[in-house]
Amino acid sequence: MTERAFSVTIDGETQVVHIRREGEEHLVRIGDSQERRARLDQVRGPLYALRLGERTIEVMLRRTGEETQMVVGGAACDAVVVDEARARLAKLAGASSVGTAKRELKAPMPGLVVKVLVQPGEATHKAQPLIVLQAMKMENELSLPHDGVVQHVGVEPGQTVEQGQVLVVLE
Amino acid sequence: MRAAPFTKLLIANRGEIAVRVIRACHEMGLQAVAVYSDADRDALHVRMADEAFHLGAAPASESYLRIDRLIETARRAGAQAVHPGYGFLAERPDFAEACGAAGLVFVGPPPSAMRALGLKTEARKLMAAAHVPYVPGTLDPLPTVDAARAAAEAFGFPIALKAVAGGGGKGLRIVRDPADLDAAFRQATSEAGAAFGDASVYVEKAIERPRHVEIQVLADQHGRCIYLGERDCSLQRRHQKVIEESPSPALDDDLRRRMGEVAVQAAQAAGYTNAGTVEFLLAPDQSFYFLEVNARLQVEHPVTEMVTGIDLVREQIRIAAGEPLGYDQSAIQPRGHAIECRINAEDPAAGYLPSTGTIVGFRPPLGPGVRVDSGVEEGGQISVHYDPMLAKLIVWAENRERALDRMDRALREFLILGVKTSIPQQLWLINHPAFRYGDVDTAWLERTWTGTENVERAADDRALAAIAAALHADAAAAHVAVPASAPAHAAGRSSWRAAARAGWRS
Repeated sequence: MTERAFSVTIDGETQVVHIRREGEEHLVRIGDSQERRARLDQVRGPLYALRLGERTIEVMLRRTGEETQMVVGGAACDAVVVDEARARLAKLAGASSVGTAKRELKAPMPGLVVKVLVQPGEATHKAQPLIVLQAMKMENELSLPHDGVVQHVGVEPGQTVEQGQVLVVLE
Repeated sequence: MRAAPFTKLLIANRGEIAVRVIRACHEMGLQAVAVYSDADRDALHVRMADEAFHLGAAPASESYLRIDRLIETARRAGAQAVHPGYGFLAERPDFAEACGAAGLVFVGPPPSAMRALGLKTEARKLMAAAHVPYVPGTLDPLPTVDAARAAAEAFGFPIALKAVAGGGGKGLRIVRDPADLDAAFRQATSEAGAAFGDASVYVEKAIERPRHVEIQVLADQHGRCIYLGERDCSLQRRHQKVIEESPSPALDDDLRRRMGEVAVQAAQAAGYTNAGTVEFLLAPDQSFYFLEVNARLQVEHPVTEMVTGIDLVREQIRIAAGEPLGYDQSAIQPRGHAIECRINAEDPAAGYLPSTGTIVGFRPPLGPGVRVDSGVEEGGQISVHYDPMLAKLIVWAENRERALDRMDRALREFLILGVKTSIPQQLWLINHPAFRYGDVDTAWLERTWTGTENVERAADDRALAAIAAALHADAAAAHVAVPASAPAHAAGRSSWRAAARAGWRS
């Protein structure tokens, strides 16, 4: 009957999941793989049972808007789920595309800026420590997962920052 | 000479260790009094206790570290004893003294022993006098970077700069290159000052590729002191223990006996009573060096409980009440193998960034040989105010290999949603050949871990996660209610192991 496609981005990697519904059944295809019967049943609260053919996998998940927080196989991950049809509409309407690379280093938690390790104009490589933030009694070196050039440093040593506050912006 | 037995005990702590002590109280027929900060109003330890008293605001300095309020609360509650747990005030002699002055029994060593052992340089002098082998280095604090340099050159690089008042790796720096000494001295003193209110540091020669092996001791107030085997805590990062086990794969019976006897010697030299831990560095040539005494219950105490069958918290309370141990060294016959994983709210793949937020889902593992000591449940908050440990997962089995397999199984069953956890890294560690063969040292994890280890495994998980996320989004979009009553007794087998074998993409 109807087929819907969702692009799901996890760890920066996007996969397209096609879902076709036939009565009670869902037939799922991911990338170029074969179509399989699948269903997702809520057990209680955030606990779900994912069934793929005869396979069962326990999943914990919670969705807020396009973001889905989940735990699969012991590992937590965040998935951004975009309905392909809607994304096409959004594109036609000229909206900015989904999944622009994160160029901002934000404070992952409230804390005290101990050190600023870069200056505007400085070229940085991925995983290079940019800021040292003291929180939970530990000094944490914060970095970004890509190369860039420092455009702006928003904080200075000794400053207290809130969670989500922008610390460094890369070009 | 039996001390007046007490019936009501206040726990000056929070989280899993408060829960642990409350459980012991209830098993012993004692009333448990909890204390809490603004952040812990509805916490598990508050709900489990018989009574709970508010201390103050969320920062520990305004609640769990307030000696005056704790003593006042104990008075108001009519408690006759105080258990400090670990961390916070557990190793503060002034707190133990304040308890004593208020007529409260402090469940821990006497303040004099805490003082003798609390400052590392003083402890080292004590051990030197008692002929306990200690790590070569200075016996006095070094006031200036020049003094540190002179000592470092005398003992030879690499050296460790250590906080005199230290613990938990704070104020500790390993220096390999003399050129790094100035910066390391500055960092170590500033970190020590911030963490302990005492910035002084001293120098120890760095032992290359050591294991961390610690001996649990119990000493009653009647002169009996015994050791309860060892714990191997060599898997560490930033000097924080990640996985602990007992027995150590590096010890044979002879070395175990020698280390145990030295640990008893060390405890007795300090006039120690109650439960304590004597930490050693074990060099590859099997020589061992006194590191410090942890004058309290340890986070990792359950592994000793699992192999010895002795309830350490119960013994702590009994000893504090003045009761004799009632058994001697020959009664300690460790059996099987126990391992503990500290499940932290942090992301080892992103520089171990602490992860804060609400625990949305929490499904701990169960089954044979599995123990979970935890202070959180679904709905609990992980805040920046306290340490990021969510739970301790402890397993026991008849030997090390089976314990590792059991830990692997239990980690896969453990589902925590809402914050990032250390579980993926621990799964990797438990299955790593070097750890399986018992061939690690205290710096191994930091040398080896790059943060990308789980990528291969995640590829298959990613596909599963993507399907689940898409199905969930589809159900919501189509306004098709996901049936809430569907049975899901499919949980039994390890889903992930099956996933790894079958490979969704293949």
